[in-house]
Amino acid sequence: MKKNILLWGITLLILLTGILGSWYVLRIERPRKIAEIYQNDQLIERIDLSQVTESYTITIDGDAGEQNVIRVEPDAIAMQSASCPDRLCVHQGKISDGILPIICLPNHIRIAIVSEEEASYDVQVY
Amino acid sequence: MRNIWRCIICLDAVLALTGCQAQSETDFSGITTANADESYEDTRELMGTVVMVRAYGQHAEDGVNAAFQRAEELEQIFSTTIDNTELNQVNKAAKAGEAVTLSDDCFQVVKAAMDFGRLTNGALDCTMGDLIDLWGIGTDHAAVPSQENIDALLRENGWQDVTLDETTQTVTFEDPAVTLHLGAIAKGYISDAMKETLEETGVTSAIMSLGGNVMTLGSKPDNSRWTVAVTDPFSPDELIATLKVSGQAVVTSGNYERYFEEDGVRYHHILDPSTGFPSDSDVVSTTIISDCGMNCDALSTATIILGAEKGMALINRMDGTEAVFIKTDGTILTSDHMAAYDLQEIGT
Repeated sequence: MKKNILLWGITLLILLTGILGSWYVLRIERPRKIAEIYQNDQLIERIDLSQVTESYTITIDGDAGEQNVIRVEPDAIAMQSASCPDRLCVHQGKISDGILPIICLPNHIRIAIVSEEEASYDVQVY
Repeated sequence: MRNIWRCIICLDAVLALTGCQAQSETDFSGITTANADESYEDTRELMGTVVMVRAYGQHAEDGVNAAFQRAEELEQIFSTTIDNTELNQVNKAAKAGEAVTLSDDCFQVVKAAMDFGRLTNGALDCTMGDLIDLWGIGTDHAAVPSQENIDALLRENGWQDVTLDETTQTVTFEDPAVTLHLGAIAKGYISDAMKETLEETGVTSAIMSLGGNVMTLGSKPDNSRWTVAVTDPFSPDELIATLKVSGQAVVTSGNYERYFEEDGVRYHHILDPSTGFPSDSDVVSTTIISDCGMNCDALSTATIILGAEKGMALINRMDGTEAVFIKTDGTILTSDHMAAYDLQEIGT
């Protein structure tokens, strides 16, 4: 009898911990990350990466036939392909913080992240 | 009883997963406007790169706009990609044998370029514009040139083929093969000029990034030093160290910045004037700290070419200039007084 009470007690305790833990996690606000996409220094798109649940792509066409395909992922963004000669923007891979933007200089495309998360540094030298 | 335990474990897992995917519904508009009355930031494309300036205090907006105006003036002098800049006109006329009068800004930078040529024993040679064009790194015609074409453009101590007359402020080329290309130094000069303009407009706290060349004015609004993160040259989307500055410039050059690949070989943009090929020294990244952005810019390029031993010896001879080198084997070298900047390796 005592053993059963003990087991039920432990069971209820674990259940309660799970419910309270989940309730706490649900209430915590995740830091927002807004990706800002610029073309020729003009803001053309703002995406809240913290709200993205499935990856998708955005295609940006330039006046002279240039093209950039941007891949938007949960909490990250990357240049998937670009018509520029060196494709350094593609090689850079995905970014998930606001310190180092993705820049496609030949096609005048810039992707920067504005984040609520406090970075441990002010600027990156590269 | 065993089934109850399984249910509890599954329930906990489900609840935890649900919690992890929770979406916040709070308004995000506060982020970009926070402290907007105390700071101002702008980012523009200039000199073939992206320039960001963030200033603090009541003069922030005026200061940032004035700094960009000054930078745009200087772009019209130093750019090689814009037609009819002063530099392009100087190259055209001087290659034809004329003595060309330079503006104050252009004269200062060309003179500094020649001084750095002497100081680095030719490792920094701002006269090899034709060789840079031949490689075309960063353009749509980047390709490995033939050895014959490279040899045709190599000039021993090429920086000595430029003569400057300080009284008339004129430049003459002693060899028509000279083409001035100030890409290794002009951005640093522009950062110094932008900083000066910010100061003239009353700004006392600002930070700038000119395509990764960092310049700081004063300290942060809370009087603490700026923390500058250094890129890991082996994995450029990661950081390798941080350092703290207040009023100094920090410039990194690395073989990972601009490059192209041909037949599986990577060719980066820092050309060694003695070989005509991308530098193949034992240093992959150099970070220079000093009060002068132009010095940092020039020395970061020159020390990559010089290599660890000669490069660090040069830095240690210069007052007020410190450096962090990352060697090909991953070793980090620091100059004699680098401790003043509180270098912290990330992950140690």
